[in-house]
Formats: sequence, C-alpha cells, structure tokens
Amino acid sequence: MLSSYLPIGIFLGIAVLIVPLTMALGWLFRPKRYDAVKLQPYECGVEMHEAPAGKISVHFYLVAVVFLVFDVETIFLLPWAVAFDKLGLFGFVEVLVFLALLFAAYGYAWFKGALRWEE
Amino acid sequence: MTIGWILLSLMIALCALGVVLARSPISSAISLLIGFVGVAILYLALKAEFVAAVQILVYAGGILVLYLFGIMLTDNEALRLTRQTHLQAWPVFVLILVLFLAVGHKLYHSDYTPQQPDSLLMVTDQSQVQALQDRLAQEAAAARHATNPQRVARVLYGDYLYPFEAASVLLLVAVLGAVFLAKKEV
Amino acid sequence: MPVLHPEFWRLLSPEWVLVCFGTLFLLLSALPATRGAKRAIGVMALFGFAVVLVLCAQTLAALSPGMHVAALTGLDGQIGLTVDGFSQVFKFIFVLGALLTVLMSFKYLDVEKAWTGEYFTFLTFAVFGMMVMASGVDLLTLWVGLETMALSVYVLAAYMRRQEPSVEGATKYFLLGAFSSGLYLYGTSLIYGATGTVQLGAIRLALMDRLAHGGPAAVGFPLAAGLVILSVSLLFKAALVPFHWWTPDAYEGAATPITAFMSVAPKAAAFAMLLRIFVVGFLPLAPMWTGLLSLVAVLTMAWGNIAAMLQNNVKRMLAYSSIAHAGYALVGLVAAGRSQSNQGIAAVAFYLLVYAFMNLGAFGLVLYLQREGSAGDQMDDFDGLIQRSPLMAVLMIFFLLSLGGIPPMAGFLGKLMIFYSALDARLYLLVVVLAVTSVISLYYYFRVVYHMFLKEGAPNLPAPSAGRPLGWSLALCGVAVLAIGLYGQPFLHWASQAVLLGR
Repeated sequence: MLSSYLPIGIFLGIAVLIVPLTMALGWLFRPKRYDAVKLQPYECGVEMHEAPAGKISVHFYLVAVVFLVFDVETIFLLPWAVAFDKLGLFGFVEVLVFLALLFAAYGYAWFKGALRWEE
Repeated sequence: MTIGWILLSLMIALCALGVVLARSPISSAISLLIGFVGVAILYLALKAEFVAAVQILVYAGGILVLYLFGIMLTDNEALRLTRQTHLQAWPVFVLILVLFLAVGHKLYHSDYTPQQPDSLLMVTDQSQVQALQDRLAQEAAAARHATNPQRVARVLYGDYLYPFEAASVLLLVAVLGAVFLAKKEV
Repeated sequence: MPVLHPEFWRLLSPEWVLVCFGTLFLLLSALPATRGAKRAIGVMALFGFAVVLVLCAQTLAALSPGMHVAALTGLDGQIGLTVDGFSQVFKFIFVLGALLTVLMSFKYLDVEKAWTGEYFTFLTFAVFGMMVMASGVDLLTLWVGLETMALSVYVLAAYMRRQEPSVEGATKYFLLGAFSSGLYLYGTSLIYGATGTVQLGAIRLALMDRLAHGGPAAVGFPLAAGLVILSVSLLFKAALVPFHWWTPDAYEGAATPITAFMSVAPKAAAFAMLLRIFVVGFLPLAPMWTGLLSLVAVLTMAWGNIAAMLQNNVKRMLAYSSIAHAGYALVGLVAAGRSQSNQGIAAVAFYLLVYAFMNLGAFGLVLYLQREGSAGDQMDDFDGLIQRSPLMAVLMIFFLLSLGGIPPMAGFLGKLMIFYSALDARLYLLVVVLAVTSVISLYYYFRVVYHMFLKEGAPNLPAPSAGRPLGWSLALCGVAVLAIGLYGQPFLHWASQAVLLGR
C-alpha cells in the first residue's frame, strides 16, 4: 500500500523543504548591504566582458543518447533477472536474441568511435 | 485518499502546463522533472512499483539529462527572440472545438447496427472465454505470490514476446540513427 | 501455432530473415570500407529484399485458402500479432517498394558520392517495422512497429546531412512525427482505460457489448476521444489533409530515392495499420469513424490535387500528388467500414500495389535526369526530353497516364476498383469528388508531358544516363504499369487475398 512509502515521502518532503529553508535562513541572517562592487559576479579577478559560451559539444548529446538506450535495455533485463527460474530456457533464449541485437548496436557505436572523445 | 489524488493530479497537470508555458527552457525542464516524479507517485498508488522505479530511472534520470543537453546545445539567445505564440492559434483553437463538437454529435446520433464478426479469432466461442477466465484467475492467484517485477516479466516475456523482440530492433535503430547523424565522418 | 513449432518460424520468415540481413548490413557498415565494398552492401540488400519478397509470396500461398489466417501464440496465449492474408499482401508491397528503391539508389549514390552501408541498414529495418505494423493485432505491438519504421525513415530523410533542405525537411518530419507518436500513445491509453485491453479483438468485443447494452451513449467520452486522437496520429503518418504539412518539405529535401520510398512504403504501412485498427478493432463504431474519414478523404483529394497544380518542382508536385492518392485509397477504407464485403480492403491493397509501381517509376525519371550539381527535379529539366531520350519520355508518359487514371494503364484499374467499392457502399459524394479531382489531376500530370514534348530543351545538353540498376527498375515499373492495366485479373485476385483476421 502507498502508506508503506511514508518514510520515503517524509524524506522527500525534508529534501524539498531544505532548499527554501536554507535560502530563507540565509536571507534572515546575512547582512544586507548592496553596492556596486557587491553586485558584481566576481568580487575579485578579471571582470567578465561577454556571456560564457552557451553551446556545448554535440558529443555530450551522443553519449547521453547511447546511455539512455542501454539504460532502457537494462530495465528490460531486470524483470527477466528476477524471474529467470520461472521463464526457463525459453526466456533465456529470448533474452539472448534481445542482447545479440543490442550487442550489434554496441559494436557499431564502438567501431564508429561514438564512444571515443574527439575534438 | 481522494483529496491526495486530486492534489497529485493537479500538481502533474500544473507541471505539464509549466513545461509548455515557461519562457526559460531550464524552468520547463524543472517542471518536467517534478511532473515525472508526480507520475511516479501515481504509479506507486496503482501498485505498479516497477513502473514507478522505471519512471524515475529512465525519465527523471535519463530523458531529462538528454533534455538538458539539448537545451545547452541550442542557442539560448535565438530561442528568446523566437515568438512562441501565433495569432493563428486562435482560429485553429475554434476549429478544433467545432470539429470536436461535430464528432461528439456524430457519435451520439448515429445509427449503430453492430455486426457479428464472421470469425473473430481472438475470442470466438464460450470455451475460449472460459479458458481465458481460468487463466486470468490462475494468474491472479500466482500474482499474489510474485513480486512486481516478476509479474512484469511474465507479461513481457510471455504474452508480449514478439513486441519485446521488435523493441530490441527499435533500440538498435535508435543507437544507429544517433551515431550516424551525429558523427562528423562516417 | 506455438512459438516452438517449426511452422511458426516459417510463417514469420520474412521478418526474421529481414532482421538477419539488417544486422549483417549493420555490422558490415561498421567496418571501414572502400566505396566498392559499400556498393557490395547495396548488391546484398538487393539480394536480401528479393529473398524476402519470395518469402512473403510463399507465406501468403501457405495460408489455407478458406481462412487466409494463421494464429500465432506464445507460451500462453496471444503474442500480439497474426499472419493473415492481409498482412502478407501488405508485406509484399513494402518489400517490393524497398527492392525498387534499392535498384534506383545506385545512380543517386554514385552521382552524390554518398555511399554508406547504413543507408541499406535503415532501409531494411524500416521495412521490418512496416511488417510489424501489418501483422500486429494489438495497439502496443503496432506502436513498436510504427516507431521502428518512423525512426529509420527520419534518419533516411536526413541522409544528405550536409545539405540544408534535407536536414530542414527531416527536422520538420521528425518533430511532427514524434508528436504524433505521442498522440498515438495518448489515444491508446484512453482506449485502454475505457476497455481494459489493447488487443483489437477484445476492444471490438467490449464495444459490441456496450452498444448492445447501452446504445451509443454507452460508448463514452474517453473511448471516443481516444479513437479520434489515435486516428489523428495515423492520419499524420499517412500524410492526409489536414495533417500533411510536413510532406512537401520532407519529400523535397530528402534524397530522391528516399522520397520515392517514403511516398510508397511508409504510406502503405500507415494504411495497413489504419485498416487493421478501424476495420478490426473499431468496426462497431463504423458509423462514427466513416463520417470523420469521409471528411478527411474529401479534403485530401481536393487539397492534394489543387496544391499540386501550383508546383514547379517535380518532387514537390509528386509529393502533393501522393497526398491526393492517399485520399483515393482512404475512400476504399471508408467503403470497407460501410459495407460487409471485403471489396474495400482488396481495392486499397490493389491500389497501393499499382501506386507503388507508378509512383516509383515517376520518381525514377527524376533520378534519371539527375546529374552532378542538379537533382533533376525542376519542370524545366524535362524540357525536350522526347528528343534527348525518347524511350524514357515514353516511359514517363506511361507513369503519368497511370497516375492520372487513364485507361489502359494500371492506375485506371486501381481507381476503378476504389470506385466500385465506394459505389457498393453507396458513398456517392466520395465517388463524385474522386471523379472530379481525378480530372483536375490531369492538368498537372500533363504539364510534365507538355514540357517533355513541346518545350525546347537547352541546346547541347548531354543525354542523361540511367545506369543499369535504374534502367532495370524503370523497365520493371513500366512493364508492370502496362501489364496490370491490360491484364489485371491475376493481380486483382492477388489483392483479394488481403483478408483481415476477425473481419
């Protein structure tokens, strides 16, 4: 029943509350003196004169996509792993076929250097 | 219970609206995250613990990261300058409403004469219906002793064996497509 | 037919043989290879599709003549797909389309210097997805097939990824396609919520039960909304008005052989799915969805033909024409929902077969005119073709006459069958619209003829070269268009084998 998740719910509630709580506490206790120097992004060091580079390499995206696909694959394997004794040889062969196809995908990504960082 | 249900649904709906309406893509992503968690709680309430875990793992963990990478890949400045609503939206909205009413009208004021199928193979005669019911009863009895993922396994590797294998081809194509389109040299 | 039975494997042989070929191409294309080696993958793809084509024909013949149905079961009960006459007829059309596309690709890839093994891998897996779409009897199985096909075709549409139009068209296609896939799942979840099942047969039973006990009002809003949302996503996949906006851009931008493929095979697959879902699962609600789809058919025929008249780019023109042709096929679907006979489904299957030949042929002519630095897709590229290469000009006339539905070409017979099935179901308005818009379509088809015959081509333009594979495919399409038109009986009989399980 859902009530068995109460501890998790309480943890979640505390975790969520900590953010506004700490912010509120900080706001309450910190000295509030604003002037031109205080409002700069950095109080010391070289002043910024343009926005930081917005775009990142497409390679991150590629890695994330490959990760996601294999993430989903793992999730498909989990039900088999907890019930493989009931599914028997038939289920085993099924999983092997599934894995063989994804292994082919893995091999492809590997040989094409999708997992290698390039500039 | 009902109040909790209403609150949860309201939260999910608001988060979904937030995803669409937020100006900044990062705000969209955060409301998406909260929405995902809300849906996971919904799954928990439906006693689908496995699906709830998957929801957190894949959606909140994987898809959202992908989404954030996507945001970082796009030009924020261009995004800000893009108009996100159009005047066309209003006539289209009216059109959709009219179509929807027309469909509803048609639905309730049609002359239905249900035909008996000649050979409905899935469930044709009474013995098959009986067999199906027996099986469902057996499964329900077995389900009381099985854990949630085990029941998922029964369905995934039994009834849905073919779509499951087809899904491996789907995942294969997904990896292939991503690598093929993103690599500089093929 | 349980899984461990050899007959199971024989009935599903097109699918698993195709996946084996696809995986082979995938592994081969992962290796660094010369252009010659990549060309070899193309030849292997040709061989693979030919084998699968034979397997499709064999499995169709193996089904018992009375039933045309073989039940497939897993360990315990249904596994979400079937092999029936309908699925095998449609699989044959998909594989045929892919085979002709591979033949046509040789010249394109040579001229553009764009040979890769992935091209054929995606083509193979796209056809696999379509096969699942034709065989699935369960909304989730159908979705897996739909997505497999769609993902492959998105990548193929973006294949020329250094060319801006290709990427632009593919992006539009992808965004709208992803949205429509989401709609499909939303509709499915509503239907599941209302009926407690995703199996089409069980949905049918639940609907009949409700209509018998509570009348139309008992159908309920979630179910009706689910059906409408589901159909919107399928109408998008089949590029029917008003869900067709992606089509011209995606077709114009994609590599020409891919455009040809997209206009034939995925469209046929979307129709297979539409027929399966509406005529099997939602037949009890036929009065509702036939009304809706009639409206879509009228809009599609009218707008597809009118917009095609305004195009100067032949690929764009053919894109709109393919929208219009989908509208004609939709008339057959509506007829199948209105009448008890199998005529409507057979008419759609026959029409899609004929359409595969004539449309691929017309795109093949564009490929024939392609040369380095020009896609050959402008109307002006056809100027004076009769002087430069009379044979090809005559072939193009065959295809255009067939597309316009002029006897004795195959397109005429195809339209006639749709016509008959619509008359049989007493859809007089649709019949009139079909006839009128067919006449309108002659205008833009004859515009190409005008360019070929009466316009002077630019002087000292070299005669285009076809290359052998393209030449063969054009010859095959030309012969088929003429042969089916003159002697259609065996082909009509073949299409009449498209019997839906549970219909």
